Amino acid sequence: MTREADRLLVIEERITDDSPLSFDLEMMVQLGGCNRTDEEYRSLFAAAGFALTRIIPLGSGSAMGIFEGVPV
Amino acid sequence: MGHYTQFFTTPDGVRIAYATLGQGLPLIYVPPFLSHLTLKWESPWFRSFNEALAAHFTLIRYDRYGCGLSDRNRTDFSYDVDVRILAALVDHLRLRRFALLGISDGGPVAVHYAVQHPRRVSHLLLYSFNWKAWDPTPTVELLLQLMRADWRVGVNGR
Repeated sequence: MTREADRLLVIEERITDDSPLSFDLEMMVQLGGCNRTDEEYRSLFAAAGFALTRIIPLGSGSAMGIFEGVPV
Repeated sequence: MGHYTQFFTTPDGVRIAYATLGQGLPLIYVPPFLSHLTLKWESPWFRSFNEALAAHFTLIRYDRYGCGLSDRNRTDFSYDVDVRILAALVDHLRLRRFALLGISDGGPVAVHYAVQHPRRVSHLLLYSFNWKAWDPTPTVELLLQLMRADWRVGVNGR
């Protein structure tokens, strides 16, 4: 297995300026987690040893996206 | 597509039910903490989901130890047991390399297996899983207490 072929794909909700924060709050209270902005995903990937290479929005009007990372 | 349940016995003496469907790269579906091969196959939603996967892969489903059509006499519910069962299934099917899909509580099992056998796993897919499922936050602990006290109120309160 070559390192070049390794990819991490995360399909998740993206927080944008007009996102409702209720789900973010629910994630925090129930699971100790949170939703994230694109930049927060970039930091999370970096902390785990991945570089965020692409963000692919999933359809128009959808808050979901594919975050692509490669090992650093 | 057909559905055909088979059984094998692990080196630890546990009888495990499994079913395969489709052709192509093997994809092992590690189920959530509850599953039942036959009942899920009868559910239109799960059946269409499984058939969509089997259109591209050899889909391998199984019931975890203690669940569904597999042996029910489980007393140790640690993930170590689940990983040993999964490893036994892989050996039984003589799989060298395969994709692993972990859903919900199947996610931690898939991750633990992949960490122990990285060369065997071509793709690791994790869907709606929670690494800290058994390490609840204070809020979740309160909900669990409510469920224990009154199942109907506790479940609806969620």
